[in-house]
Amino acid sequence: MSLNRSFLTLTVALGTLAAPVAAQESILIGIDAAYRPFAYVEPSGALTGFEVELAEAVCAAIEARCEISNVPWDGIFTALDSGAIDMVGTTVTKTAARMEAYDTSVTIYNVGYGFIVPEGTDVSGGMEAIEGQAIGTIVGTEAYYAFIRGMLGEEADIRGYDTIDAAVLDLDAGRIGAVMSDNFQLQDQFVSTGDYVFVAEPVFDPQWTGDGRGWIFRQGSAELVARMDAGLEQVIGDGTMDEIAMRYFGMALSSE
Amino acid sequence: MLEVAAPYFAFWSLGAAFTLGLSVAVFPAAVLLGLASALAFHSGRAAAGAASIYFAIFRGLPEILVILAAFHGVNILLRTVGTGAGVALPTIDPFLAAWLALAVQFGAYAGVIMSDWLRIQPAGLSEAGAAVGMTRSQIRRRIVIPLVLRGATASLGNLFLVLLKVSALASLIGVEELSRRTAIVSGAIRDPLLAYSIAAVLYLMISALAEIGQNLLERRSHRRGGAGA
Amino acid sequence: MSGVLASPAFWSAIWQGALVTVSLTLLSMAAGVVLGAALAAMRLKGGPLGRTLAWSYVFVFRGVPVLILLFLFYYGLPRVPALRGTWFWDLVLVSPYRTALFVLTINNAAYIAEIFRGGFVAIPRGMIEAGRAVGMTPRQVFARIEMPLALRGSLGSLGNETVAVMKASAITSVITVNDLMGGARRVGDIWLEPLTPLLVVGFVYLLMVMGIDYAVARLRALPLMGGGMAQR
Repeated sequence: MSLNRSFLTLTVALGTLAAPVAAQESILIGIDAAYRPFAYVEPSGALTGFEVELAEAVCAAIEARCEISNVPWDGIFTALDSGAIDMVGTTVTKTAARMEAYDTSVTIYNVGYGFIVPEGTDVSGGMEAIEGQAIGTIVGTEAYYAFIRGMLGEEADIRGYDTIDAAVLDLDAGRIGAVMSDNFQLQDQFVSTGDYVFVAEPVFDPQWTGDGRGWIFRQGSAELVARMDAGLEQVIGDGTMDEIAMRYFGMALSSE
Repeated sequence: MLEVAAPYFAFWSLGAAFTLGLSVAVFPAAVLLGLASALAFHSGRAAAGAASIYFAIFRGLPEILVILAAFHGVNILLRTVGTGAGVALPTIDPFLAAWLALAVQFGAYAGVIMSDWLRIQPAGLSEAGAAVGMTRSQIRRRIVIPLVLRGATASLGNLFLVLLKVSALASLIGVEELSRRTAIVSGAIRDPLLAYSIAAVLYLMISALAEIGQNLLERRSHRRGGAGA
Repeated sequence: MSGVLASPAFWSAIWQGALVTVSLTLLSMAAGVVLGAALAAMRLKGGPLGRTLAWSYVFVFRGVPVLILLFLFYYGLPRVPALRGTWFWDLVLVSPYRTALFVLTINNAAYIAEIFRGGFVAIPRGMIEAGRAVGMTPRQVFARIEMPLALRGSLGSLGNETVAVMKASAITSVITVNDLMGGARRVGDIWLEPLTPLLVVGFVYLLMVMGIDYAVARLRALPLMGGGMAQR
């Protein structure tokens, strides 16, 4: 039908307007830059943060031209599916479901799981300090729930919150005994303030934490994945990643 | 508290300007589509059926669905066509996708408004045009369309206010207008309460501005309407 | 294209999501009509203070996009420690669904207030004077003449508002509500088919609009609504 054809012509024309043909060689990386210190925007509008610098370092290492764009988390996988980006540069947990549906990079870093309590709480006995108390965490995060039950028993009183900040507000109010989340979030936002302490060292056991975090690609991207993996191994090996992580998190990352 | 957000005000104001710009870019296209579909609706031919289907579909579809469908649909289409033809076609820019989706959707809203005005337009006016020897297209251009546009000014002004708010949904596909920039600032300063409160005030300011403009426009069109209006 | 369509999880998400969308729409309309009527009454008969308050309410909640209101109430307000343990926390902020319902309601109440106000203003003076002439008290005039007439005059607009609320509810998925749109999209994401769910969901929305239009037509035909009288 001619209507269809003219629609097609119009959209092709619009698309051509949007991105010049020269962009063909670039690797399009989408990162949701709304989460400091992982990825955020400076007052000047420039993207920055750990994930942004890591992607830039890898692209430099493999001498690839990369275009990093700021894509909302809500639409990041659809943007990947539809071809608007080639790679999700937000470091996401490599869950079984994601690994089945997408190609993934090597594990960039592992997250540890831990509990925090207000500073001044007696944590000399480790987990004993919070046994029998209500634990706050992020609602609907299956892995977190399993970890809390594994540490404190099946009967653990788990309260789900929409954001970690909401959970910590209830911790301040004394309505829960501890907050459980990943070590970055807890270290960077709470322990670093001096008002909270870890109950014990964060746990890095893959039984709980899975395959760590990495980048996500469309299926069939083997060639691109191989290039990015090579770059990742280089920046992890030569200490570049540790240096970036020190600046943003105040600690090195474990990619074991 | 405000000091944290202050460095972002320039970044943010650009987002607010972008919100206004997106709506201003969409609106003329929507009015043209609306006018064309309203005229088609009253043409009494197959085009009338097509126009009423167009109205019915976009009256029922949520704007966010249309925006997502335009963005992902066009990209998938481009990729399929590109793969078939063996060339790498670029992807559609989120701004263009949002523009396309909003123009088509608000074109249907504008079409409903204008076909209401066409319905109540006295036939005598067109007949008078014919009596002085105007052709059909002259009657359309010099009598029917100007009268519809003047009659619908108030409703179209309200539609523009709705468009300003609905354009916030473009943020979900990554258009960096006021809402998306608010999410970004909120993530950077880690204070959603402050960020979204400021965004709410900015939207109110934009709406108030648009409302003032609408009042001026309405007054002007009334004046031009003369004693009869 | 067919992968996701063959998945029972997809159709179950559509069904569950449709229920959420319908309940959000109906509950928010019911609460919005009550709140909107109160606002319209304040605007018309509330004295200078009531008028100003009602006007400000309408200005603010019509002027700020629902998307911003959702984020403000869901992510912003929980940052206020003083709200913890208050009735507002326990009743509204405690879950995404309730926050969504609350936001949709305060938003549509602003529109409904304007619809009712228009309905009252449009009542011919003669009707009210006729009521007084036959000896009705002001209260009776309000209950037996103004209210029914305003309601009948507003019915079409209320139908359109119901459609608008249903469409607005499609963005509550940004605060993790699994409504028709959000639930179906989530399943579509798993199947790597972003577009197919949108087409199916769009069809369901159109069906629901037909349902709303049918309900409004049936209400119009009720004797209470002046069924049998000439249409406006």
